[in-house]
Amino acid sequence: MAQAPPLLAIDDLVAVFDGPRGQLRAVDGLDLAMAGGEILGLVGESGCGKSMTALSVLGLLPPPGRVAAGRILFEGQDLLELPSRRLRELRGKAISMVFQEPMTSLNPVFTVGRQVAEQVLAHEELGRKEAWSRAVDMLARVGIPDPARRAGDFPHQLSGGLRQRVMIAMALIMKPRLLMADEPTTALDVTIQAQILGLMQDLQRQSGASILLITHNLAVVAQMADRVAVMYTGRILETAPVKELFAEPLHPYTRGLLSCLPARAPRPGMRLPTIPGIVPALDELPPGCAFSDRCPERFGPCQKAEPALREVAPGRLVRCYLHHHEQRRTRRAA
Amino acid sequence: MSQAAAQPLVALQAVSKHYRVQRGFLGSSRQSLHALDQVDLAVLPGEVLGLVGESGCGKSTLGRMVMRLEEPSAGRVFFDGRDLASLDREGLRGLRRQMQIVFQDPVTSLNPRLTVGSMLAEPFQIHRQGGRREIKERVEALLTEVGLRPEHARRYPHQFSGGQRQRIGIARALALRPRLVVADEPVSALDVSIQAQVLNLLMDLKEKMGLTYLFVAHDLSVVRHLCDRVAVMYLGKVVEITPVAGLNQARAHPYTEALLKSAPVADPQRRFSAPPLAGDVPSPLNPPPGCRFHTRCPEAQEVCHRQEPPLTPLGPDRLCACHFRP
Ligand SMILES: Nc1ncnc2c1ncn2[C@@H]1O[C@H](COP(=O)(O)OP(=O)(O)OP(=O)(O)O)[C@@H](O)[C@H]1O
Ligand SMILES: Nc1ncnc2c1ncn2[C@@H]1O[C@H](COP(=O)(O)OP(=O)(O)OP(=O)(O)O)[C@@H](O)[C@H]1O
Ligand code: SF4
Ligand code: SF4
Ligand SMILES: [Mg+2]
Ligand SMILES: [Mg+2]
Repeated sequence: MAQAPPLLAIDDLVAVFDGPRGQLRAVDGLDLAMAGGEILGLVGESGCGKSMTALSVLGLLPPPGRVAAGRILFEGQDLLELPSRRLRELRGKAISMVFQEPMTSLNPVFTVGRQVAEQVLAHEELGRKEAWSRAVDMLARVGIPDPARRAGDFPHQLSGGLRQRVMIAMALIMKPRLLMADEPTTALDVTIQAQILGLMQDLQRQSGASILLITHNLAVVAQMADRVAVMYTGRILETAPVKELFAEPLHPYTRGLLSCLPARAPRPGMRLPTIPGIVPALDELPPGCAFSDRCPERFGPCQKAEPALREVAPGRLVRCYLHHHEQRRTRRAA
Repeated sequence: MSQAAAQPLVALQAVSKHYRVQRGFLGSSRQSLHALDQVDLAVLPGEVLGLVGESGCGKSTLGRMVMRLEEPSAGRVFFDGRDLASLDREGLRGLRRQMQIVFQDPVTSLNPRLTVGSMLAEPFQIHRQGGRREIKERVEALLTEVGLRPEHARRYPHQFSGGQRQRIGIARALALRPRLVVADEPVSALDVSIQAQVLNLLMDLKEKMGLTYLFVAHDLSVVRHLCDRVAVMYLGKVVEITPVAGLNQARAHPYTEALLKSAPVADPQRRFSAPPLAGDVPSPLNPPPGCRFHTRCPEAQEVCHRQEPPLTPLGPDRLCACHFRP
């Protein structure tokens, strides 16, 4: 992966909310790279900054949120430097997003066919009729039965699963090179979730688009992703190919998360391992390593300065002193 | 489990619940929604019975019937051998103490204007148990029991994290030492690390107090971990009842099989190739005739369109409603 230039490269991104109690850093020094054609799973517990990361890429942070520092390179150009007109052109075309709340991102007063067609009209000189028929084709491709009739339905007339298919149709109709899908199946039943995940996999294979799959569900990630990035308090703690991450998680937080899963318990009914404490508030992070107040492996350097995200094996990045050679030595000595 | 002889703590006999709902422009037509249809189910003393199925299949409605928060439209519910419908208000109040419910959403199920202390004191006051000093001591003991601190009694719900709020919900349910706890998706809204803490707490309390749980869930890995038996529901019907171990056996009900195959596994070596079920859940306003699952069932035959399969024994401790099982 090192040779091909990445499709997306986020460097030291900081996204903040200025408030009465000071500044909250929702994304805090985030580094992330994606290659063309891959599915990257971005996981982490509620509030860790997954959605704000994706919204930063699109320039759609909710006010008063703003990007305070960093670079977001898409095919080599920095999206943060781009004039807003150029960013609008990219949005929905080269980069698109399935938002976390489907009901708020579909307009209740327009038919779903029209909303899909609008995506085409926003980017191409095309007659309405033609845009409509492209929309109907796309609705068929995402597996909506009787698409010509369904295109005339309003969002509330569709089930949750069908609405999510419409969202995916809207996101994919312009053949984006990067799709960011924010919790695309969280509100759905498992049988419908399986359908939507299967659909995303098929479409990804056909189009070769890259997918940033945002979810808190580790099983969904195991099912779908090529690589995984684990997020905590606005930063990446670990990145690895999916099989390696699940077989041998390196960061203590990743290890903790995986061992909490009932499915990974050695036998039913046993008490599950837990991560002590709770995720700290963003304005009450411990000194040094952001996980140091909960980490069972904390040692000498952990609260002195924050460890860097380092490549410790090919394709494996970890932000933890246990994996820094010089610090490991001090730990053994201690 | 060879508890066939034990008297069930809760028994539902042919319980149905229909809601009148308005349909069409300005509610011009009224229709009957069958949230529960002729459900038979027993919860044995000391067991954890899981209740799974897709959204809207009637899991919460069943929980409300057991708790007598609503009356069934037909059928009977027994607690400890007594028909709930035959009890007068006083009798029902006595029984209420013995069964409690924990809800999914730890935020909306707690009154934001009451301190945790006064919220937990309420059940004791309603049931006139103890004077002020005694109640205060009991509240503090309860908080400790669920892993919180006595001084938390003075705080309001918004001052707690999601997992802590769920502990408060559990503490409230346990105040009067119930025998049965209906837990309606108690960990579904929680992050995995917090989910593990709350599951451990539920298991500890069950052991310590000899509780019986009716545990509503949609995550099969949670059900596998916690439950002794599972009842699988589809569109207002129980379609299968099986010991949890039976979930791994072949020849489960076709819907149960589909649920098992659809659930993603936290193991990248075991990805599924194709979604096991096509189509959407039909509306409970006009459920399909015959077997309700026939519109999506990969094994459906002609008979399934016409004839409803009854819940029949499939081995000593298993019930299944399918024409082609066994
Ligand atoms: N308008 C806002 N003002 C202040 N802080 C905000 C605002 N919106 C979000 N945040 C904070 O930013 C942080 C990151 O939020 P984000 O929505 O990215 O989390 P997430 O990882 O997507 O969580 P979830 O899994 O719950 O969707 C959170 O801690 C949140 O409290
Ligand atoms: N008070 C009510 N009036 C009308 N319909 C209702 C009422 N309560 C529930 N229903 C309907 O009854 C059916 C069963 O609902 P119920 O809440 O029991 O489902 P559930 O299995 O708990 O679903 P979920 O997993 O989404 O919680 C649904 O179709 C629901 O819309
Ligand atoms: S740096 Fe230290 S505190 Fe942080 S995760 Fe590693 S061992 Fe734990
Ligand atoms: S009765 Fe027929 S439709 Fe119903 S589950 Fe069995 S095979 Fe499928
Ligand atoms: Mg989010
Ligand atoms: Mg429910």
